[in-house]
Amino acid sequence: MTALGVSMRRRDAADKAAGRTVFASDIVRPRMLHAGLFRSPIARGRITALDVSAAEAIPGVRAVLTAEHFPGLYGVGIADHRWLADGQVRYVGEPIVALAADSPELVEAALNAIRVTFEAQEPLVTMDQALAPDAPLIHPDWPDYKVLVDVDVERASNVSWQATVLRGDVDAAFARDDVRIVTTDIRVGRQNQASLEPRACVATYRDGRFVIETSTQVPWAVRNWTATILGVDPAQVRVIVPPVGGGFGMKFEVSLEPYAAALARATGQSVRLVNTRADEMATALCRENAEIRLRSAITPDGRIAAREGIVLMDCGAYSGEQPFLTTMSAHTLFGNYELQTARLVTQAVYTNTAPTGAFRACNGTYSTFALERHTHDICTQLGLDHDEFRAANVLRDGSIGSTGQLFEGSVHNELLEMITELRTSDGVEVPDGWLRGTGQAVGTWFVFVGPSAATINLNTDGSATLVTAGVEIGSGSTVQAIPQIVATELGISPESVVVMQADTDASGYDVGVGGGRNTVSLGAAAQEAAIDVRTKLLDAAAEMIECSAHDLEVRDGRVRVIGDPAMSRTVAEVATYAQARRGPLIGNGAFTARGTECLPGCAAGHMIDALDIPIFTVHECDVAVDPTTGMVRVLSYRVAQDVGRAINPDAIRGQIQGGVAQGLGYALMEEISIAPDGSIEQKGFGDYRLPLAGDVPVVVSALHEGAPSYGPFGAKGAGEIPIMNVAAAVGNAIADAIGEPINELPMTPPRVLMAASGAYRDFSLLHLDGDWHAHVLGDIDAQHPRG
Amino acid sequence: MKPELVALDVNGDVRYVPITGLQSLADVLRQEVHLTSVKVGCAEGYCGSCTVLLDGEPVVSCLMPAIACEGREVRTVDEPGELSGLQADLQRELCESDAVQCGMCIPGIVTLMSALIHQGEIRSAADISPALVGSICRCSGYARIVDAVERVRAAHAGALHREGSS
Ligand code: FES
Ligand code: FES
Repeated sequence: MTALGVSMRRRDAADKAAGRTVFASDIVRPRMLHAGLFRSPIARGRITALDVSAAEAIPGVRAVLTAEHFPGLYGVGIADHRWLADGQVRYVGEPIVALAADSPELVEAALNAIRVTFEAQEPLVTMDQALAPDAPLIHPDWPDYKVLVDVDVERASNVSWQATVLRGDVDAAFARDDVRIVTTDIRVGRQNQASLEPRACVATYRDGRFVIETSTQVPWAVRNWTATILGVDPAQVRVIVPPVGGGFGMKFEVSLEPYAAALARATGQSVRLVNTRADEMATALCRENAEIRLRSAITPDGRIAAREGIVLMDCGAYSGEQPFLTTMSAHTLFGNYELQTARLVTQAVYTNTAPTGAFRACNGTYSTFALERHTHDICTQLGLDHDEFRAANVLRDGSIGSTGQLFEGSVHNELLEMITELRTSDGVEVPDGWLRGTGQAVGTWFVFVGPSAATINLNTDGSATLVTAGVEIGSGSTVQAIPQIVATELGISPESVVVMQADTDASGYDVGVGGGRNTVSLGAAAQEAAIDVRTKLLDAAAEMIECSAHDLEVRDGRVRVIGDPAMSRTVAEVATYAQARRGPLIGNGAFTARGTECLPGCAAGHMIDALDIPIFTVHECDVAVDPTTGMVRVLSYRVAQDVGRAINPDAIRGQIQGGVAQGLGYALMEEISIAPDGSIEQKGFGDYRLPLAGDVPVVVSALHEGAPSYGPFGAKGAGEIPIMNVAAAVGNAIADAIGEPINELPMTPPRVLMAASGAYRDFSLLHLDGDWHAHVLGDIDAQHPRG
Repeated sequence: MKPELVALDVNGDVRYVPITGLQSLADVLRQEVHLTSVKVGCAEGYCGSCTVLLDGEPVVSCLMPAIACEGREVRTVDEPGELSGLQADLQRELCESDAVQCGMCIPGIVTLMSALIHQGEIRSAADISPALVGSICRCSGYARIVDAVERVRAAHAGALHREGSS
């Protein structure tokens, strides 16, 4: 029996349901100290005096550390971030002091005893303020920071990164006298990942090395960055990851670990550092707020002759993941549809607010909202049929993407057909006086492929131990899909595959769990390791049975002669035989991105020029809108998703249900606002409204298999993308219900009421006005040399 | 502030634990009794991950001063007393329907839903979502949790019905 396509249950569910699972936030160590961070109360200013002596004098306070203990600069695209503020603070909540004490109460007392004086400066809280011509520089040292990737980047003002796309003669296309031009402006707020387990870690310093048990998605990044930030050798850092209580991207960067590690070294004791919910509300690496303008020239036959875009993403005080994410607008905002010509500028903008970061499908969510609201506007304003327009323009086999990549397969068209088959009127009751609407959204995303390593020990009892840096973040792929892949290749049951907890001392390098890459990258490395060890197993069996290895197969825990099942040995017997004669059976696997071609000169400032493994998805929903209150109720929801190959269909559907729920939060209720002083106004779950059971309908889904993918058995990542189209589908459904556009997220009742009164009809973000070229840093033509 | 030694009945064991001022029951259960089943998702009473039974009533232990629990029965998902059968059924249903993702919310939801089914507060499938207003799950999108609770409720109601009629 093959283990593929089977909805295996999770091996970790029973302990989780019983409360026996130990998360990082549950770990207790002998003589463990508690730690805390003193955070900046102001958004921008110089530290003129810092006095920690009173804190140090409290009995039971064991270490008080300041900036000089954290010499290294952190970043993903640019190294711009000191781990404790050194002289200058740039956001409310920025850590200035890290300390450890015997109890949480003593930590509190010590934090209260710290004295800091600031020379406060006017904070730049909005991108508008940060981009004003006379705005002061948030990072005056920007030109001296190290760029960490091999990409040329323009540097000016408070723009931390710029990515551009230029393909074809856009001006000429807009100037055609037969095209009609449609413009859509969009503004979206931040979204907090709000994993139920906050960021948490326990660090110990032992035998000259740091041992860090932490709630992270990226053990290897934590290892390497902790070393850089502390100025020590990376081989001195070991990172172990217990089950993670939700990540959703927030745990895709190093965070608390360097503080705990430095405190552990300073005290010689284990140190626990766990964020409170208030800390997470103030400093989570939220999905960024953004502003977008899209302009398109549509031909009389309904094709897109030109598309122009401006995207401003608020990266907060430090750039983090955002330089990388500027890349993704080319593939999402300028994805989905065939464009005859295109130009796009995406900038990550520094502000004096908490840094933003990755959150499930990242900017794909609002890019899709902007693009699909724009598509809706195009069809409505030009009187085109929405379904026909989408079907005629979506990317298909042979289409050229915005950066010139060639697409294979007509997956979007197939998904559009699948979604219509899911339509039903069952249970769709519209309350009296409410308006009903239906909305659809198409989306394009990708698998964030990249290096992964795997080792498999095939044991003499017939079991296999899989060693990777794969973390179980709740999505299940590490305990479901990956052992299923290994079991399939080794002809054993998935239960016989032991999955080792991520530990950087045991496993090879891995980018991390996120970006839909787990099943693909770790899965492919694990598959290769399984094939490697199977080859050795069959060689040994051939020697035992005295036949050729080519005549052997392994199934149901036995190696047997093809066509003569009577001639067989158990895997355990062969492994025992092999171990005695050649040593234990071990297989290794390594994987990385293959790289996909794009047209030279189309993309500049991009870290990914083309999508290696694109993923497509179509969402549709029915909503009811109360015209008197602006309340929105989602009546039904359907998803048709390209999964490549469904290794565990139930697990994928669980990801779809959960992803859509988070998307509904983003679309309708999760609002984050920033006060004039730069602080985030929502302080906890009391004022940050997450979706509850009554807000989420049962999501109906259809899984599309067979699209091209070089993932194991043709799989693609399935867990990230379900959130992506939700705001777009709901937005279009609301627009359909009220007969007016709605261009802002979240679509809370007050905004829906505004929309119903026509407030977004001429919605225009003034600072995006003017010629597109005026928004681009540097010489656009020099950045895009034609080959 | 100096901690005070207070006798707490946790899961049937009476033990002396140090309690400081208005320290929450959740903190004491986690730090002194080392019960990992009591999760703290918010410490502000909204998420329900810290739910325990106090004299049989579900409460959010992060808002309950531990000192106020002296002389009362504290029961967690580990030893739920008379709810153990119902709770085991619910845990099994959650596992079998692949409803558990990260798992942080699950012990609290199991405790709350078992107690409400037991008390007859959940009479039909329609009662489940409203009863979950104080329970945040960030991962699952709730549908499978609601289904699992409904199956257990229906089976339990059937069993009660049979008991009642025999
Ligand atoms: S931790 Fe008690 S309700 Fe959230
Ligand atoms: S399973 Fe993660 S919060 Fe519910």
